[in-house]
Amino acid sequence: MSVKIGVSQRVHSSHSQQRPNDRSRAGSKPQKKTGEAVLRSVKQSVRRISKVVKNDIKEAKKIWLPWPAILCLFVLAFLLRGMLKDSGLLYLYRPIWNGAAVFGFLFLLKWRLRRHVWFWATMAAVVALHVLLILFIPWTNNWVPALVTAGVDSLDLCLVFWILGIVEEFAGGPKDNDSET
Amino acid sequence: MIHRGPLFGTFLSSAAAHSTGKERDTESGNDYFGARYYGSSMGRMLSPDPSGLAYADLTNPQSLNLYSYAYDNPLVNIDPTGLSACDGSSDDEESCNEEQSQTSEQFAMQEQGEQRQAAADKIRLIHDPNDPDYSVTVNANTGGCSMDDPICQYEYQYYLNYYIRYRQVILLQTGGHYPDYKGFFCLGYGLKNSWGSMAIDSIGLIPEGGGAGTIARKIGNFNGYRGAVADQFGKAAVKQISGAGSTIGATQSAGKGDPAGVGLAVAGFIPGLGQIAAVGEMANDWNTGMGESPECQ
Repeated sequence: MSVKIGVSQRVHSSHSQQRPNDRSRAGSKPQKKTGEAVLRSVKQSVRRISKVVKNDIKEAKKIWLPWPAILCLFVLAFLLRGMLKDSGLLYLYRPIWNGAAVFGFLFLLKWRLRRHVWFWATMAAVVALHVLLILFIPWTNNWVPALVTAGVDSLDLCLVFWILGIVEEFAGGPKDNDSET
Repeated sequence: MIHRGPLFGTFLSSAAAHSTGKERDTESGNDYFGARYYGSSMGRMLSPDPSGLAYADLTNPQSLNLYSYAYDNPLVNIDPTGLSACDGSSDDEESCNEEQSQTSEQFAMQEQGEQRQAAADKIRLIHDPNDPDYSVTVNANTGGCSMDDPICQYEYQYYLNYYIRYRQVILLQTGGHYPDYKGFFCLGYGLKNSWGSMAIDSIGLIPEGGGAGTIARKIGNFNGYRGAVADQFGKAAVKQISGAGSTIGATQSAGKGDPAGVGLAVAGFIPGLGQIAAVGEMANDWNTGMGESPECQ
């Protein structure tokens, strides 16, 4: 018993003596490992997200509207502008038109994610953000070349692709059946 | 003789001849006014004024009511024939009768349908697009309708009166602009005023396929190249414009001090969006051009 007790005591004492060292050893090594792992994980996530975004942009670049669709859009734009002018909201024509174009592209390209709640939640947040921007930025009625607005639209679309990509990454990524239309 | 009108359908006498001196149909109870019947029980004419709005007076809204008797003011106005009311004061009695007799003659002319139509076909109505008052010129002579012909003369006067009054009524209804004039002519004014900005904005519509070859050659030629070199140069430009624009392209263009190249590269980054933006801006330009014309305000 005594031996046992002694052993036990020794063991206990050795434990109590070694604990700080163990802590420092065990504490420093796993922390380093965790930090590296997190960094690696973040890098991997960024790589995955950028791959998804690049793929989305590649798909977006393939979309080219036929002439009948352009004519229909022209009539639609004419009507929209007329309506906004009559309501005294002409300054909202440009952001509304271009915002609708961006979201049209988004839904077209990301429609495979329609079954996910996080997709709709993110889209709702992004739409709300755009509505705020549309309402509170002092837009101009003066002539702005289409090249400029197209550039802004492209940047906006890429930004939303990134937002969706990040959310998609944290939400677990697309499921296999997402590719089904 | 002064013809006094009924008091909004209330007749004080039941005799055959009444306060207006008109004969009453005993079966229907209506009064015969020559051009049409007056419904004494309703206090209104039973059919609209055959002269239409030709004698409408915008200062008197009742003149737009084609069923009213004497502009609904029989104490002041008279309407002996059922065609058009005029002031019943003693000073104007003679002129009113004269006017009424002329109107009666004109009304009789309306019966001559075919001849009227033939004369009307010869009369030309001319809208002057530069006249901000949207006036209409009725020119009978250019259409070969001789003023010696009484039917032609009548038609000329009829059209002139009708269009002047019609224009006034439309202006009153729309609050100051003439919609047909605006819609038809202003599209042309819009194009005329905005063709420059529309041309620049249409760059985003340049197709990837189809006419791209021709466009590429023209772009190459415009930049001083000929033949295959022009094609190569143009194709590179079209490619950049219509879809292959990229951040790298933009950076390269910026490095070369080419702001247009930067714009094209950014705009062509996603060509479908470039198309939609171009369409939106072109519609905006066209509308703005229309608004710049004083005639289309």
